[in-house]
Amino acid sequence: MRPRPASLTAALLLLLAGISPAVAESVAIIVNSENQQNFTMQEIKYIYSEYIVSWPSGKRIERYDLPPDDPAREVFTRKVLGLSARVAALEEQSRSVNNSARNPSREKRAPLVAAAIVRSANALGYVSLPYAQSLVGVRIMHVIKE
Amino acid sequence: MPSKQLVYLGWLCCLLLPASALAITKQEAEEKLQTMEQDIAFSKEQFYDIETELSHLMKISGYMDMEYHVSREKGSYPQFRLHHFSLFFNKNITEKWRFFSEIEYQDGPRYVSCNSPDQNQNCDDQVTVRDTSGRNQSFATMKEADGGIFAEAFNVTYQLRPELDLRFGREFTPAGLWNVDHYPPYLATQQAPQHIRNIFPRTNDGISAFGVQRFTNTFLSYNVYLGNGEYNSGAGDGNASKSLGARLSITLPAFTQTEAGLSLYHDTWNNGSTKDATGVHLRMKANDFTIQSEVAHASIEQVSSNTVESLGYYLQAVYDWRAFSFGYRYDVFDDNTANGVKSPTYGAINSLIFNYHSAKNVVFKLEYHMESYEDSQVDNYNHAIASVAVHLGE
Repeated sequence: MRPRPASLTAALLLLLAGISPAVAESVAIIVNSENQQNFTMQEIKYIYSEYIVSWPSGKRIERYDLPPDDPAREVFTRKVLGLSARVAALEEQSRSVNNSARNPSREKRAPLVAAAIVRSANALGYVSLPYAQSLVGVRIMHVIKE
Repeated sequence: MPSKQLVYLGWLCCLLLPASALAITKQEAEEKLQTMEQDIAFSKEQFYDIETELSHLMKISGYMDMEYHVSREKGSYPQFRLHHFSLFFNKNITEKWRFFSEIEYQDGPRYVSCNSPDQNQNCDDQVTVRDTSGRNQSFATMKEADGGIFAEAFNVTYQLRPELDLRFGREFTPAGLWNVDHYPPYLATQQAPQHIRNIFPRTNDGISAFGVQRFTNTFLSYNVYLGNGEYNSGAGDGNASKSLGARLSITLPAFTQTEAGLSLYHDTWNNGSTKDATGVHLRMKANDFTIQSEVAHASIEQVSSNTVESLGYYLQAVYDWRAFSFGYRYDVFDDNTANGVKSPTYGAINSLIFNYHSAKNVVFKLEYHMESYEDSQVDNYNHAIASVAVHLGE
């Protein structure tokens, strides 16, 4: 079967532009499996805006973010914060440099986010749902459907 | 045996020989696996150890911005401006204590002492200072200076409780929106609205208490501060009364995020005049659309009993689309208004805004300002600023 010229052109344009089409997928908000405390989605929004900084137990939340180029971060910031990953990252950075950050996030790739959450009962983060389902030692608190 | 089968047999021997030579027993395999697991566990511990050490190191970051100005104002030439180069130093001293400072180099500063070998001319002026051993020594004074160096912030913050922090030192005056979120890589324009720093002072030298109190899905951010007040250096205060200010801000779950607030300030100047300033602010985010506005008013009661009033406000709307931002701002300031009557100093500026965020830390800006003034002696003019602002950090 001969490839259609239109699809070939589209593929070529993507290649030329250096754009790899990101596969957006559902995202899971994860915590350590020993941590049975919960937050609502509204509270998750305020945790990532640094208004809520502690667990109900009073312990400080160790908050993790994925890098802005990770497709899971775009899904997370759009659905939870109502912002693009770029704008959310800028706001985070702005709070940090103007000395108003109350609980700065730690930006890590997904395997390190998962490792940190397995290690600490006070950690909270998000990764893609398929990856979260493959992990041992974490609990999925919420699923954000794309 | 046919020769073809002999060849196959030879090949089979060649393949099996190295495999049998490499074969290990189950016990050896388990030992190797155990060693590898120990190595991985050790590497993990080492990684977390390094990460903990890094989090306690002094972090150095900063930003720079450079501008190109084209103006129709009389006597103005197209020009480059090396506006800011600022360095931030911050350190998490302990879990509860943290340090922050900003040293700003504005307009490419250059300071030359009379003792500099580059100086051919003699300097007559000298300054006498006491050295560390208590003896007086004379030094030549400054010959030339360009730009400015300013310790814009240096403070330590102690977290008393999750909802209450105490800060000691110099900080940006917590008033309104622009004076708090004021760094060029995160602002839509290089040119600030006119009333910023003309009603509330730029910095506060003193102490402040701030935090966030939660009421279900509404948050009250508060900041109360006490300082030396305006027109004092870091060396102290020229009068007994202290400046007092507060900023209250409510964040509501309306739209994507809505923040509304009030700022208050009271100060007695060294010359006896008293200043009272009030401001309100609003910022609404609805997905990629942001509207922000501030209104501020100051009343200065002079020793002569005359009262000077200033009023400023702006409304700015910005739309973010992918790596681009488009916006518009209307900005008004009158630094000597009375009973709502415009003074000759009344100025209104319409601004068109375009930003391109080429990377997380790099933004190119193009802004076009149309300035008009009440004073018939002052010409109205338009001007444009093209700039690049870069955050130097992670």
